[in-house]
Amino acid sequence: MEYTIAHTTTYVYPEPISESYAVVHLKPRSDPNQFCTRYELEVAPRATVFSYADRFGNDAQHFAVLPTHDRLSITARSNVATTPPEAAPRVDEATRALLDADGDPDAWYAFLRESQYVRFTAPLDEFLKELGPPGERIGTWCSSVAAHVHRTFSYDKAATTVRSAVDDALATRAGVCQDFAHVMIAAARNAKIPARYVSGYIFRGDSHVLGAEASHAWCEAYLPPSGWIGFDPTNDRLVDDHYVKIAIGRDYRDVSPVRGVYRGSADAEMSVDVAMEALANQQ
Amino acid sequence: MPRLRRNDRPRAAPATGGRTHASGLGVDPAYARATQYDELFLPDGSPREHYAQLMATLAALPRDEILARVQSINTMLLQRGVTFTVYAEASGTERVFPFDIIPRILTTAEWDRIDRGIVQRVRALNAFLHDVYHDERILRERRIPREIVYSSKSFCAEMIGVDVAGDVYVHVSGIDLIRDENGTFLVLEDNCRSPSGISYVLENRTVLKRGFPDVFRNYEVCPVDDYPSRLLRVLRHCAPAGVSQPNVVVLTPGIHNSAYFEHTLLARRMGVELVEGRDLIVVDNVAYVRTTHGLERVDVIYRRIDDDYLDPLYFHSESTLGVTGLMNAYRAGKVTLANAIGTGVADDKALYPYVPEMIRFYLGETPLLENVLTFDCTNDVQRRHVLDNLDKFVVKNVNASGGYGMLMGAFASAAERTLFAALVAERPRDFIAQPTIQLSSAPTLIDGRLSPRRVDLRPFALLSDSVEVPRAALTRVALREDSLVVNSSQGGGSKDTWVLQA
Repeated sequence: MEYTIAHTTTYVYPEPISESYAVVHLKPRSDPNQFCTRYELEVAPRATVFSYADRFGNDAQHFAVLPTHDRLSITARSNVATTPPEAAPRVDEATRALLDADGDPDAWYAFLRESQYVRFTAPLDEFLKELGPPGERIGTWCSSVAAHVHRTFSYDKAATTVRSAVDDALATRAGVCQDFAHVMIAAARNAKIPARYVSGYIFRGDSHVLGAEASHAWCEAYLPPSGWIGFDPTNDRLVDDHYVKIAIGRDYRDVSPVRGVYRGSADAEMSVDVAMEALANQQ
Repeated sequence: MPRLRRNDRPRAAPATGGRTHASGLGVDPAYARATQYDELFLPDGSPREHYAQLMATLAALPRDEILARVQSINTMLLQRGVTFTVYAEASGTERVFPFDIIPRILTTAEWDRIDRGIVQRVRALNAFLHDVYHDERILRERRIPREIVYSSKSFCAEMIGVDVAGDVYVHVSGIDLIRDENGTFLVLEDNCRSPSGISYVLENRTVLKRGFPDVFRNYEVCPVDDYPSRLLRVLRHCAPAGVSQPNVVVLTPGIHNSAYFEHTLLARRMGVELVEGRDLIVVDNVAYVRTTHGLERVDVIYRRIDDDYLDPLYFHSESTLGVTGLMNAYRAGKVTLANAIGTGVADDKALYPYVPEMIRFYLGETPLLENVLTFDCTNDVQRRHVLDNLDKFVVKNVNASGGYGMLMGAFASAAERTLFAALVAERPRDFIAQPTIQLSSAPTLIDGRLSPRRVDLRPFALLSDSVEVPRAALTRVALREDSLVVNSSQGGGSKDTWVLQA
């Protein structure tokens, strides 16, 4: 599939502010299953955009708008071609023994530990009890985690905030894709299965999927023999060529689409608009 | 050995009760019970050779004269603003840093050993920092458990893969040494973030020279006042590539910081600007000072602000002490920060037991200065031993410094020990334990007589192409009788520290 995506984030300030600095993770990654063929970042008021590769291999940009302004808009336009994996992920073949025998545990060590949004807390323990122990078939267990999150959590934008750690979502059994990804990651890491956070987009097409109106998020678990496999607990499905991956990290904190600091006291009003279209000449 | 001028041999002062009597300054009878190594007195009460001249000079001064001069030195220190802040106290937190007039003297031979040991240690610590933020060789080869590094509060994931100018991380470090019962120097802890204390070294020398010029008679003492120019040279040397006339500034958190006096002194003595975060701005990845005549580019920032507060865009977002966007300029190699970000992982007390391993691993050398025996509380066997013998241990919180958050088992109440035992059991990663060490003592003027008080030694190391250890070290002294804690926050003072010229 080939998609064209326009992702606009707008901040409106009730009083003028100045010295806005922002770091954004909006450029889709290129990897064996997807290729970013075009990417532009447009900032208004105008600003010079700088890029760097972060430690997870994501391409981050940053910029600053120094003069006073009462509105800031950031638009990322990208074209991405995705291909379905050559072979379906071998989720059910993944075993603890294969993971233990994996050659390079150093590579995924950071994805086994707690991180800012992923905490091993008492509410998580309660949640894990409902799932039962992972046993040997850790891939099958991961599927059951995604299914359990999908079944027992309700999609509710009011339940949590962007700063919520897993406890808020676990307490109310509600949240958005970011929370569901964090819950699944916490469950997997707690079971000593490497898990990482993925930000991206999901293509709605004609079907009804959750999370399609804005940027999406899901979880990848490291499951030999396949390697990293994407689970979308929000929709209880495996990640395929309807998904576009922007960035990977330990959790939301590493890859938040826009993070900024400015001088001024006004509370910003933020709006996000994502338009994702499949290019017509495909299929 | 001290160099004494010929034909001017020190005359031994008359011994009284087996102890040298220095003028009207009596010697505390506590010395008779002392079992620790003393810097000045030999076990028989006579002075070590390199202190003999000092004792002779003091013997020639009337007691009242000495006490009057001590008084005038204290006035000088107050006027010069040599103060520090005690954070734990509610009132009167600004205090003069107590100064003891009896200098601590190190022979050339003693200093040479220290110098070589510190050069080696700092090279290894710097190599470790480059490694944990790049190839992780020491972790991949399982010489240090990965978890200890990743769980360190000072491990800065943002620094992974970031290259720093000249691969220098610890431009300035302070390595705390103590002396055991045999007089052997041991490393008590490393300070790789922004160690303070050099201002006291400079001030102590100034006031002692003014108050007691005569005690320097017949000693060739290495100067300390070249420290600021050496520091400036190192900072300039580590400027971003291609900058020929680097502009250096000192970045302070401001007047409320306990070391503000030091920040002002170093900036003044280096002849560079002292700035706060709000004085700097990052424009297009370049750092500038805001001046009345516009922006002035900054190439090297000697920053005395903690990592967490340096840049609200990447670290504590509520911080107003730092400079927004500084991390971007730093990552892009447009500005040098001294010390580098993330150096605290090298002085995390839980990593301290592994420093000898770093020396072997990176340098292929045998450590010249040994560590104090340290128990790892995350190890079940070691933790049990510590908890069963808490009265014999010093337990330290790995995230605390300055003498805060520690338990001196031998002096603690049963309730304090119970409290610490619970803390250690709950959060073992946060604690290490060391057997109580009898730090060496040095005679200190207390109530008009010489009393044994425990001391440590903090030499400072500067790193650019190589490590240099200026002969300007801080001796801290525990002014309370029998106290083994020298930190200023815990009733510590300091002494002028002499390194004798070869």
